[in-house]
Amino acid sequence: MYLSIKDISKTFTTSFTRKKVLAVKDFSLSIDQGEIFGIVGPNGAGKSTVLKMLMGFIRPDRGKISLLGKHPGDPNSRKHVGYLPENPYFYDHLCATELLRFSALASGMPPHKVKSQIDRLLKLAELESAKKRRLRSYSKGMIQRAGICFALVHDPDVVVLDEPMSGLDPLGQKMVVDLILDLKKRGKTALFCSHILSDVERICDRTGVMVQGRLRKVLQKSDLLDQENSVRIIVDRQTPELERKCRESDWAIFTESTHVTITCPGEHLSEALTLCGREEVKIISVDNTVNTLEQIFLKTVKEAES
Amino acid sequence: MNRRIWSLAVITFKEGIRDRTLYGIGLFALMIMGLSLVVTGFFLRELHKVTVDINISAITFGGLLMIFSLSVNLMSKDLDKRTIYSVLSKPFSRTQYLIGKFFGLVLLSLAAVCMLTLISTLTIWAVKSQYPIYFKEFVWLAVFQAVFAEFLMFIVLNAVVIFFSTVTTSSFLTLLFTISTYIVGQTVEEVVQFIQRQAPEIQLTTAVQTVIKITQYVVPNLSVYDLKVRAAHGLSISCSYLLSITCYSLIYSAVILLFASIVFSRRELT
Repeated sequence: MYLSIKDISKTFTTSFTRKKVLAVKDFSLSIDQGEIFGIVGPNGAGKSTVLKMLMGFIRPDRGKISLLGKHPGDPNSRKHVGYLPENPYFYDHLCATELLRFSALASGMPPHKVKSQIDRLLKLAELESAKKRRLRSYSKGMIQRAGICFALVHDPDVVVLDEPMSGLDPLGQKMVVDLILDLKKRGKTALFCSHILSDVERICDRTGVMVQGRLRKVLQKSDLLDQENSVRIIVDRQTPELERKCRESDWAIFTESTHVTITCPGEHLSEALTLCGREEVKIISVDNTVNTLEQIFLKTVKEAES
Repeated sequence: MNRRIWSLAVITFKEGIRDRTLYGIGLFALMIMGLSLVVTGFFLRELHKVTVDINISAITFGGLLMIFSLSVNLMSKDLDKRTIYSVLSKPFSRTQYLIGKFFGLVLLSLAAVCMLTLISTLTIWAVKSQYPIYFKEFVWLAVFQAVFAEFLMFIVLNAVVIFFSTVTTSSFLTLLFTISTYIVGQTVEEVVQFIQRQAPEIQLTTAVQTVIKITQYVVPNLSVYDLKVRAAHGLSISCSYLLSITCYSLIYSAVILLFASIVFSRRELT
């Protein structure tokens, strides 16, 4: 295993009240070489905490972590790893070239390869024209791009990205997607967490749904493909009979403030519509543009919360 | 030196040297030195002592301001703004990180001392040319030795900054503890000597005596680096004394960095 996390748990204690806050509980995960794994979850689910434990910034209360066969506390475990923290912040008075040069040299990259690699990445991240500017003058999106370059400059075998799309415009987001797909093509391994479910769905070989510190579901790409023939019916309200039928037939049902969404397989569409008619609920729309990961994500969160 | 540590020292140095605070401190020290050109003329005797005293004091003041503002800031920003995540995602051990930062801060102090010494040399030279009669006892070597001793003190204080940055979570506390260490370090020897001289007359409790004894050994004795008076009198320092204070600086810094490293290795970077 390139990356293995076994039964880790982490509890934080607040400074003044000494109250214990559970961040991660019994989290296990194994990632093979060349695999792209995405973690999705609501805010405060513990995604970043898992990545920080993996990088050795914090220690789990219990459980084991192995990064490229080494303990995260061993600096050599990070030699072939690239990491992008959430909302990265770099040295204000350095320019992008200096920052990336530091990243490359600190990672043990041979000095003669550094310049060409920096130029290549800055071009890819469209930061070439700003490469001599101090980082304090960069926008949030530019910092994010510089952070991605910082993580990738030494051509690592494993890439760990915490919210890589954060603060990026659609072009920037596409760039990140392309970069990750390129990593996959070159047999690199990536673990990242993101809130942009459509991209996670598109890029990842497997996706983990994390809620309240636990990894609730791990979805294979095939799990998501199986649900691509689903249809979504949006109605104005929920009735007890509708809820019972959904539970019985394993259809997903989500109640939101203004409407109720029912997701069911395409072959159950007529049955579902008949039921809606019988229950006299108003059908607002019917479509098959279902974001399957989104549905699973929402369902998992709801289940965990209840 | 390890290339990795050196690369961290270099970016710490670059980050510090481009900070506007440094220019402010430099300008302030320059003002004091410039002032010495004007003020010295008001004294009717011992002009060389006044000139040397003002200039070395300006170097000390500039160096201290730099440590209290820039060094503290450079360390705490890494932790407060989480830049440390990016740095420690590289194959640095926590100890290597601290050593890299320490060398960066020492380089910064060295650059500041060099710049201030250059200006100071020009100032003293200008006053010396204006009033050569008063500079018969003046010795350049004694001035440079005093400046070197100040630099050794800056090395120790930078190590103190690193230590307090690792044990506290606030830059204000780091600043407060560093300033306290400086004040205690400057006076501890005098206090101990006073107590030893006046021992029969002062009734100190055993607890107080123990505290003073511990303080004497824990806090760096910074008064050993104050050679301003000797330089002002044109008295050179023996090589053995310089060697001993150099060793003291290096050993004290190494020990305090070792403690910092032990604390920092256990610290969780949440």
